[in-house]
Amino acid sequence: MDLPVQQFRSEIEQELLDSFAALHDALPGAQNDRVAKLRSDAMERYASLGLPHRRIEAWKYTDLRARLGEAYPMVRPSGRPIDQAEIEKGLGPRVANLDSYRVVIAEGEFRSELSDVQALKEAGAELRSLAETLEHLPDDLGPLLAETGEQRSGFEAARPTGRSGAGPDPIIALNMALMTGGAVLRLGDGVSLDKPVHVIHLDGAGEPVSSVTRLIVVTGKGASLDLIESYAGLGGRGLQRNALTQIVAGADSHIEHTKIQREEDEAVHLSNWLLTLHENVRYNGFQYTNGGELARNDVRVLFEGEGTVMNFSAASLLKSRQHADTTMVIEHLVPHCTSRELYKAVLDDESRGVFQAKVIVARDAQKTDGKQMGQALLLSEGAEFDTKPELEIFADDVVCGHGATSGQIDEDLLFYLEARGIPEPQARALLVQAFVGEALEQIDREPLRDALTGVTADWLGVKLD
Amino acid sequence: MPAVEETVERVREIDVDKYKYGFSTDIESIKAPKGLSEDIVRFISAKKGEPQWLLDWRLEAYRRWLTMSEPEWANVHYPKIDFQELYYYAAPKSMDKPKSLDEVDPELLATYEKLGIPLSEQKVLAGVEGAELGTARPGVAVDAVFDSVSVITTFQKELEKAGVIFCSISEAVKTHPELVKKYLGSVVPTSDNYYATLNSAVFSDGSFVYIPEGVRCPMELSTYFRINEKQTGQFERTLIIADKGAYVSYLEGCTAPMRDENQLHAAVVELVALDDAEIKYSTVQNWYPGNSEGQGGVYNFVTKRGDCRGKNSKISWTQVETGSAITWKYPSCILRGDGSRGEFYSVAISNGYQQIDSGTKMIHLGKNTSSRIISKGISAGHSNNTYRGLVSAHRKASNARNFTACDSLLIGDQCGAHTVPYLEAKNSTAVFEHEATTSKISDDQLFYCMQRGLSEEEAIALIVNGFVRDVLQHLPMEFMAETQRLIGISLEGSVG
Amino acid sequence: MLEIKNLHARIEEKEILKGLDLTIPTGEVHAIMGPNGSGKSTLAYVLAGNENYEVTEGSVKWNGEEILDMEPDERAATGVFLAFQYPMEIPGVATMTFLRTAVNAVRKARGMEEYSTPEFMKVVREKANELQINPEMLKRPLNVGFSGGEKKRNEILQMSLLEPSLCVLDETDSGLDIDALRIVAEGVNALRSEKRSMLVITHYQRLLNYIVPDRVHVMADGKVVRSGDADLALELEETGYAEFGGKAA
Repeated sequence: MDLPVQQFRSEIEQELLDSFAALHDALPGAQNDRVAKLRSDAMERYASLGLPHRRIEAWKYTDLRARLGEAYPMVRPSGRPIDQAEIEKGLGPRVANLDSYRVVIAEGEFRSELSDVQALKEAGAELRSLAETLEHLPDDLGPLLAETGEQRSGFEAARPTGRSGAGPDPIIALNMALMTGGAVLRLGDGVSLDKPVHVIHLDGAGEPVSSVTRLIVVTGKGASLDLIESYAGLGGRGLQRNALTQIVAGADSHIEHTKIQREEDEAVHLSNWLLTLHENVRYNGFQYTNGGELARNDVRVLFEGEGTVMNFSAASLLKSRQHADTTMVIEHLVPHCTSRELYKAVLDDESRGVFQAKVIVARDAQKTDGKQMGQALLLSEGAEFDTKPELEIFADDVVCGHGATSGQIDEDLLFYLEARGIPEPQARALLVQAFVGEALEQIDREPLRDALTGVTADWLGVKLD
Repeated sequence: MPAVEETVERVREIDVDKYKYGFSTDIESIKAPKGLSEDIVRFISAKKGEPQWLLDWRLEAYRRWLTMSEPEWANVHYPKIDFQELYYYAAPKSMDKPKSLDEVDPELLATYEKLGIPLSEQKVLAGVEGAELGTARPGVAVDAVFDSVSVITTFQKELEKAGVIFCSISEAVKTHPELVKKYLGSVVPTSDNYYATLNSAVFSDGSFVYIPEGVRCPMELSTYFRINEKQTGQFERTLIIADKGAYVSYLEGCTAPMRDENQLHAAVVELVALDDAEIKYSTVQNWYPGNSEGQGGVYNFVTKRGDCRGKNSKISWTQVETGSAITWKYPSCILRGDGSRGEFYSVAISNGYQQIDSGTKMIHLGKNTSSRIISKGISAGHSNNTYRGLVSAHRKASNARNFTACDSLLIGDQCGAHTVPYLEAKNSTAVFEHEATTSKISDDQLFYCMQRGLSEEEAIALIVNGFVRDVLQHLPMEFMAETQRLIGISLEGSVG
Repeated sequence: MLEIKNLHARIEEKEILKGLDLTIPTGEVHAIMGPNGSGKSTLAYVLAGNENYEVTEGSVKWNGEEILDMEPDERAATGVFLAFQYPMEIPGVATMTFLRTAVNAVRKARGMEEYSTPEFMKVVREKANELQINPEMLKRPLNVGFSGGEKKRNEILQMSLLEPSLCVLDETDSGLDIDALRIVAEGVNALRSEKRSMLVITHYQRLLNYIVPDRVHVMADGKVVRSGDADLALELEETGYAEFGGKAA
């Protein structure tokens, strides 16, 4: 591949290269030639790309290179016990106590003793440690590990080496090169679980660390899965997270997928969702971003089968100097699919919310129905919202649209509530909740929706009645 | 404009040859030697008898340009331009400052006549009186630019009575140097972007307008640009200043002969509106779009920007883009004055192998500023049509308001319609609303029209005219009917 | 004279017309009634040439000329007019502009002289007046924001302006209150002439009290299954469509 060669390398960019050089023999799968090759290829991609910065169009509003001071050392799994109290502390009781099959990935490592491996097996799902899987890589996972995040269609696909950011993604490359652990979940044809699978990621108890993990989910034909990913810190002094989730949704499968991000104030959260949807899939995704100093949520969706419906919503609730960026690339490669995105940001203090969503409708993807909406509520003078909804449409028989709004709380509504006797702070909170509520409503499962409604109320400092 | 005698009926006359302005004029011209260098910049400046300050200004721009590289972010693709293969100055030989119309080369007059731009003031007036649409309108004053020079500016005397200065920019440099010096480059600095910087170095001619304080310009002003010479770049520069409380409506039209090679047009337009002033700038861009195989056509790389410098000032851009092989243009408003307002109304039609990447920027700097963007894109044939726009509210722009609506229509399955808006709200009291849709003409609408006797092409033209109506109504009457007809022509051959 | 022989048509894979025969002599008004889904509206669309319907067999001759190969606009020029059950909205196109464009296109195709603007305005105003259409309505975009009654009156106005020889009225009574129905029916009756044939498609007998047909045909499952005089409509009002495989009306 013809990649641009980086001329200048910042300190942190070099540190990441060094850590690969130091670690690669000890990383899981080092003995497996295919995995070792995939890792070194990925590191080469990263080496030529460097960290993304604001001159890369897809990172225009999140200058990662400038914001990352130094590369933290890779987390070393201690294997220490983690009890329910600690999980509750990290995730908050509302999320921690959701009834579910539990999967725990702590300190970059899959923790089988904390995960419901057996119960899942009985329910028809296979859960394995990623590290173990890498030692004997099954054939079907090879292509998944080789994914680079490159755009397949549209304008930029024709010139992936430009500054569009539509070429190989360095964060995905770093994940492939450096991932230490994670999980692989497979649902066979027709398997439907009776409760959600909750994958809990916990990191950073002491010194600043980096944690690089991956979750791979493959669903069989007609399977049904409710997947929750949650991310929290363990009270450490700093965390750089690179978490990647890959889902391959088999024909006719139904997936509910939610990510809850509640890391500590200094955390840097880099997340990638790579979704491949086959025919007649019902996919309903949600991302709740509430913690960390910097969060970047990349979501890439490939429609590879006809008749598929994807619905994605996100809520980012930010304060102080938090910065959260949700960037999506949705590629309609086949006809007769539907995509919906709804993004809501509530921005207080000097926080900054970013929403970019590019919907590409390839020449063959006739009868595509694509709509998106990005909305921000700015609660304070210093807050900022940047959005770039984007349509690239090459097929004529489509219905596509997007909308974006930015504004304050509606003063007329506020007055109305106050006139009904509701004190101002409460009235404001109510209106914010209503705003976020439109996104939360997209969550299909009630216990989860209620939990996040509660988390929102906690954030706003109001009591739910 | 030519549309004076047009009526809506002409919408239906779409069996005209695709590009009816494609003829070339056989006229002897003086050219600068081919290529670009400091000497060429000096040559242009000397030809125009410019003062030293302007030559220095050009040279500074030229030196900066040498350090810049062509922008690549737009959704347009074309082979690299060899800037040494172009001529940067071409003027009809007969052009030695005609004092009146009688001195203008008859060949030139005939050219404009053929384009539907009568330069004789009597004819313009007669045309108005004979207009079908009835209402008495003032005439339209025209500055006719042929390749690198202004041929003639009509109605100058009438305008002078009102205190309005309307002349070519070369003339303004001589007659009103203080105004030119004060405002030139104050909206689009020489360092702004690759093409604007190139323009600053080699600009040849263009129009200059100054409307003094409190004056409402008594007639529509317009410039008609014509590229004639082969391999000649056209780099015109327009500067319009509306002083406090002034009003002006300005129209711009452009055509070029059909030629196999691409022609470069890199203009810069600067508008300045002081307190309570209003500038309405309309463009009907009909440069040669290239043939049906995508050969030839004009590269239209234009920087247009208005500065709402004063309180409660207003700048409104209306554009109808049907021509050019490649269009790269973003008429913008800097809303600096408190209470100022920017508007952008655009129809962009692409057919054949045309590529359009166009839109606007609304930069809200002052308090209580507002902006409105209505963009209608129509793609047909093998063309690609991108709306790209930025709306930003800076920290101090409290109560900034923007409303944006972008609608795209696709005709046929080999074209593309794209929407790339950027919204940046750095002030919590700013309220932005943006909406965009992409669709095709519904089969049911087409069937309904055809059941009533319209052919498929007529039906499409009719529906498209309805689609763009929100924008066309912002055009001066003179342009509206002409434009409706143009839309029909531009979409010819888009069916089947 | 309209002669439909063994007409088969389908939409996508579904056959809807299954060998329909129908003859309407010049100057007569025929009604087609039938249960929902019997193919009445499909017949209207096929006569007007809608490309969504594929004709697989049969012929349709208008005054001896096969029209199935013609484009919709060519059929309009030949004199076929369809009053739509759901008239289309076209944003941004003033009703007056649309009318003038259509009328002049048809006149041109028929070798007649096009109307000048003042002539046309005069003709439209007269006819609009007869149909109690407010001239303000003509300035509004075509059918956009029109009430059900306004849309249907607009259809009849177009019918009267385009001077067709074969009028097909598809459920013109649907969505009309009794006053609007009367106005529309009067408009239609005014256009009855010995040179003009009409096909009135309706689910209910109600309309036929106002537009009294020469013949009534019952359509079921894509075919004409029974024909009779105007009294047949009254009979159906009593008995419903049950015997033709439809639900009781």
